[in-house]
Amino acid sequence: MDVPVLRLERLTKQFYEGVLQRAIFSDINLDILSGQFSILTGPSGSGKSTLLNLISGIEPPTSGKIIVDGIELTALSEKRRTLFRRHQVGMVFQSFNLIPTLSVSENLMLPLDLTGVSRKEAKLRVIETLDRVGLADRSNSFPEQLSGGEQQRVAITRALVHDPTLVLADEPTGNLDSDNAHQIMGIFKNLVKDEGKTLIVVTHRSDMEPLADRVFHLEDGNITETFVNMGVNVEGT
Amino acid sequence: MKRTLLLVSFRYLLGHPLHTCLSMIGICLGVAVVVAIDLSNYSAKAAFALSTDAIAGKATHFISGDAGELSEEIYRKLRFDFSALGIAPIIESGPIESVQESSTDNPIVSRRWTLVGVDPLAEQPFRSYLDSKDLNVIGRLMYEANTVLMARQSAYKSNLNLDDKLTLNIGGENKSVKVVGWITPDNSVSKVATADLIISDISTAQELLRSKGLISRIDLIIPKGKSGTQIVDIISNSLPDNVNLLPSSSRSESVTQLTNAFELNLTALSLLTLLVGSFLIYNTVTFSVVRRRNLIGILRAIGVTRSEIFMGIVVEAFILGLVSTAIGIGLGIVLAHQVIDIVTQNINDHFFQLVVEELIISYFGFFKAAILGVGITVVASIVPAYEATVVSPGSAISRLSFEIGFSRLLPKLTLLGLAISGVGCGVLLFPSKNIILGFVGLFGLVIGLALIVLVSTNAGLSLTRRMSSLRFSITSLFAIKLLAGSVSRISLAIAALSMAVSLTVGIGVMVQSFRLTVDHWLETSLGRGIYVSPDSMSLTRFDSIISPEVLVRLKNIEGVTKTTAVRHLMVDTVLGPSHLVVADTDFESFNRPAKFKKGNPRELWEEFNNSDIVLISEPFAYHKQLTIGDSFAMLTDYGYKEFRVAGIQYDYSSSSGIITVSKQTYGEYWQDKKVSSVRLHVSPSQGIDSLIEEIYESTQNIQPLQIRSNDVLRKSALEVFDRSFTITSVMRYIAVLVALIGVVGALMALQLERAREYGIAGVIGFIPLQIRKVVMLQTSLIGLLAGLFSLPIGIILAYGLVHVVNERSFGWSMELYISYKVLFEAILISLVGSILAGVYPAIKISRSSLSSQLSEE
Repeated sequence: MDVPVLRLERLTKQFYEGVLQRAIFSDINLDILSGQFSILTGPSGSGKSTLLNLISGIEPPTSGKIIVDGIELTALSEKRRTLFRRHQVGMVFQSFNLIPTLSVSENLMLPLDLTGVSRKEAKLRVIETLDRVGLADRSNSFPEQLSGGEQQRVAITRALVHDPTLVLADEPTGNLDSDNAHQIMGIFKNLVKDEGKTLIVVTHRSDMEPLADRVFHLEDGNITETFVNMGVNVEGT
Repeated sequence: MKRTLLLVSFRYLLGHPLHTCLSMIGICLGVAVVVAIDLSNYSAKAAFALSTDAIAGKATHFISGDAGELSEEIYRKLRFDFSALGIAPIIESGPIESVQESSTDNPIVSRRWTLVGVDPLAEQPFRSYLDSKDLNVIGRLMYEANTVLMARQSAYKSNLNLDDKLTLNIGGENKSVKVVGWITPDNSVSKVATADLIISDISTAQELLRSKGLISRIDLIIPKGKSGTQIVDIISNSLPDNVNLLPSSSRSESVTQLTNAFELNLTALSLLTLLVGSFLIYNTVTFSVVRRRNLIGILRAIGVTRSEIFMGIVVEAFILGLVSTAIGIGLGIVLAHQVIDIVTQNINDHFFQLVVEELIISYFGFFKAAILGVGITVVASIVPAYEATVVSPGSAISRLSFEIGFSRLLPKLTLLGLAISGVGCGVLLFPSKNIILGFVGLFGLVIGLALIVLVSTNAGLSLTRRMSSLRFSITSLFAIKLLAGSVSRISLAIAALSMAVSLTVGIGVMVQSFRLTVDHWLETSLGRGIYVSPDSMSLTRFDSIISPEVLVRLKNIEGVTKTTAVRHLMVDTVLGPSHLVVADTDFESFNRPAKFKKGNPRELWEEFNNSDIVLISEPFAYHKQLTIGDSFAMLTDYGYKEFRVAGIQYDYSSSSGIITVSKQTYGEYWQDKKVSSVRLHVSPSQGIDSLIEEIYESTQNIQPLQIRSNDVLRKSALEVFDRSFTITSVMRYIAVLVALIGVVGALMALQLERAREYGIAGVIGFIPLQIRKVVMLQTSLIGLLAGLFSLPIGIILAYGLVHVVNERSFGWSMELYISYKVLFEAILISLVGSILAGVYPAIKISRSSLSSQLSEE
C-alpha cells in the first residue's frame, strides 16, 4: 500500500476576528499520495488558502496533525516548520509574488541560495529550468517587464527549482486570461507526469478539474472528495 | 546572511532614495553634532597641551613656586650643584596683545602672543626650535636689548620682517621689541604650538614683564631609573617650602580640569541630539517594514526564517548606520571648524586664555562617534526588525489585530515608562557631585517620560475621538478616526517630537533662568557709575593693572564724587591657586542681602574690615566644600595665614570661584598697592556718557582702557553669557529638525497603511483638496499633542538641568524661571513644524491613483 506523502488527521483551524472566535474547518482527514495532482475547490471564505497555509507550515492548526513525507509538521517549532517549507515545499500564488527588485534569474536563485546550493550549480539549474519553461531569454528581465503569464511561469519555476516534495498553488490562474490559464495548468499537469511532483492546486475554475487526479471540495468546514481520476467519476458516471 | 537576501535589501534601499535619505539624516546630523563638539573640545585641550608640551620640550620635570614664580637664585644653586643635569630657566607670560600699527605701507597686524624668556645657552637639550648654530642670532638675542625670535610664518601673517619692531601691550604699557631671528620647529606639532610664541633672552623677558630676579619655572631633564629617583629626592629636599619639583605631565592637567564640566555639558547635549536621531531611525525603519510587508510575506512563504528576516533588517540598519555615520563624521569636521571658534571663545570668556590655531583631528573621537552612530542605529532598528518577523504571508495580520495587540501592550509600556522615570528621578536626586550620574538620571527620566507619552497619546486620541461626537466636519471626523486607528504608528512619532521639543523647552527655560539670575545679580552688584579697567582685562585675564598716573587723573575728574578700586590676582592657597578679589567698598555697596547666600552683610561689615575673614563665592564653596566657619590658609607676603569664611556670596563671574577680602585685610598681609579696576561714583545730575568721553580723552595717551557705564558693563556681561549658550541653542534646533523629519516618515507610513481608506474616500466623493485637508488636520493634531506633551517633560528637564546638572557642574544655584515665551515657542515649533512636515505626504496621497489605492496587495 502506498504511503501517503501528505496526511491530515482531525485537522481543525479557528481564527480570531477581533475578539470573536470562528472555526474555519473542523476534523478534516485527508491522504494524498506521492505524484498526485489534486485540486481543491470551495466557495470564498471556506478556508482553502488557510488549508494550504497549514500544509506548508506557514500557520499552525488549532488542533490535529499534518504529516508530510513522514514528518509531523505540527510537532515542529515555527523555525523548523519554516526550514521544512524552505526545503520541501514550493509555493505558487495568485498574484505571482515575485520579488520586484530581483531579476528573473535572481528570483530563481533565491530558493537555491536558501537551501545552500552552490552558486555554480545554482546558475546551471536556473538556466536549465528557465529553458524548460521557454523563458531562457528573459533571465535578466525584471518582473514588471514580463506579462502575467510569463510572471506565473517564473513563479512556478521558482517553486520547483529547489526540487521540493510538495508544490502548493493558491489560485495560480486567478489573474490570468483563459489561454494563459490553460497553459499554466498544462505546466502543472506535466510536472506531475514528468517529474512525479505532488501537487495541490486551489482554483475556482471547474474546467480545470478534469486535469487533476483528485478533486476535493471544502465547504462549511468539511472536505469531501468529489472526483477521482481513476477512470471513475465519484459523483457521476 | 544569504547573498540573495542581501541583494533584496540593497535593491530596496537603492530603489527608494528618498526613504533611504530620510533614514540617514537623523543619524548624520546627530553624529555630526557629536563629532563637532568632541573635536572642538579635543582641539582646545590638545592646543593647550601642545603649547605646554612644546614649551616643555624634552623636560622630564619642572620646578615651580606655589605663587606662580620663584627666585632665580634657586636656578643658580641648582646649576652649581647639578652641573651634569640639563637645567634651564623659563619665564612665561600670559597672552599679550600686539598693537596694530597702520602707519607703514605694510601695516603690522595685531594678534595675541605668549612671551617666553629663556637662557639660549641652556636651551639646546630641551627645545630644538632655537637654532643655536646661528651664533649671530643667539648673540643678538643675548646682548641687544628687547630682541625677540618668532615663527617665520607668524611673522609673515603679521607683516613682520627681520629687524622690524613690534609693539606689545604688557600690563597696560606699550613696549617695543625687535625681531632678530626665527623659531625653527622641526615637526608639525611644534610648528602649531610655537605659532604664537615670542622668545627672548630671560633678562629681556624679566625687564619687559617687570619680574626682575624672578622666573616662572625651571625645566630639568632627570634620567630614569634609580639614579633619577635619587636625584628627584635630593632636589625636592633642597627646595624651599613653597617650591615644588613636579613631573612635566602634571602641568596641563590641573588647568584643563577646569573645563571638564563645561565640556561634559556640551557632550551630553550633543548625545541627546543623537538620541532624538535614533527615534528617526526607528520611524523610518518601521516605515520600510510597513512598505515591504508583502515582500516580507513572500520571503517567509518561500522559507526565509524569522531570524533571517530579523537579521536582514538589522544588517540593513547597520549598513545605513555605517554610511550615515561616515557622512556625519565628514559633516562634523566641517561643523567643527565653525564650532571651535565658539568653544574657544567660551573657554576664553570663562576659564583660561587659549589660542587654537586649527582643528586637531582625533581618530579616537571618530571611532567613538562611529560606535555611537552605528550602535544607536542598530539598537533603534531592533523593534521594527522584530515587527517584521511577525508578518505572516498566509493571512497578513490585520491592522485591527495589530492595534489591539499594541493596545494590550500599553499598560506594560506605562509601567516600564514609570519604572524608568522613577529610576532616572532617583539617580538624579541621589546626593552626589557626579555630573555624569546627573546626566544619566536626566536621560533616564526623559526616556521614561517619552514612554509615558505613548500611553498619553492613546488617551489624547481617544479623548479627541470622543469629542468628535460634537459637531465636527466630515474631514475632521475622518482625520481623527484615521489617526486614532493608527495609534501604534503615531504615538512613537509624537513621543519623538515631544522629546525633541521638550529639549528646546528644557534648555530654553534653563538658559532663561540662568540669564535672569545673572541679570538680577548684575543689577544687584553693579551700582550706578563708570567702570574703568585696562583694555586687556577680562574674566580670565586680570593680571593687567591701571597705571598710577591714570588713577590720579580719574580722581580729579569733575563729576566724580568717589572712586573705589578693586584688585584681582591669583594667590596660592592650601586649596590650590585661587582668584582673590580685594574689595575697596563702602557699607552701602556691601550691605546688599540679595548678594549673600549665607551670612548677614549688616552683621559682617565690621568684621570684614577689621579681622582675618574672607567671603567666598558659591562655586568656590561648592568645589572646595567649605561653609561658614571653615578656615583655610592663603600665601601672603608674610607666609601662609589662616582666614575664616564668614559669608558665601552669589557670583556668576567665575565658575571656579573667588575669594573676597577687604582692602584693609589685604593691606595688612600683602605689600601690593596695584589696582586692577576702578568704579567711579558719579553725582546723580552728572551725565554718564559725557563723562566717559572726558575720561577717554584725558587718558588715551597714557594707557588703553575699557571705560563703561554700569548699563554697558551689564550688557557686555550678558553678551558673554549669550555667547556661552550659542552652541546649545544650535543643538536644540538640530534636535527639533531631526524630530520633524521623523514626523514626515511617520506620516508617510501612516498614509501608506491607510491608502485603501483614502481610496475609498476618493471613490465616495472626497475631492483631493479634502484629502489634503485630512492629512494636514492629522499633522496639526500630531504637532499639537507633541507640543502639549513636551511642556511638562521640558519643565522637568529644566529642573534637572538647573538644580542638579548645573549645580554639580559649576556650583551655581539659580531660580527656575518658567518663561511663557519659551512654552509658547515650543508649541509653535511643534505645530508649525508638523504642519510643514505634512505638506509632502498630503500632496502625495491626494495625487495617488484611486485604483492603486484600492487594489489588493
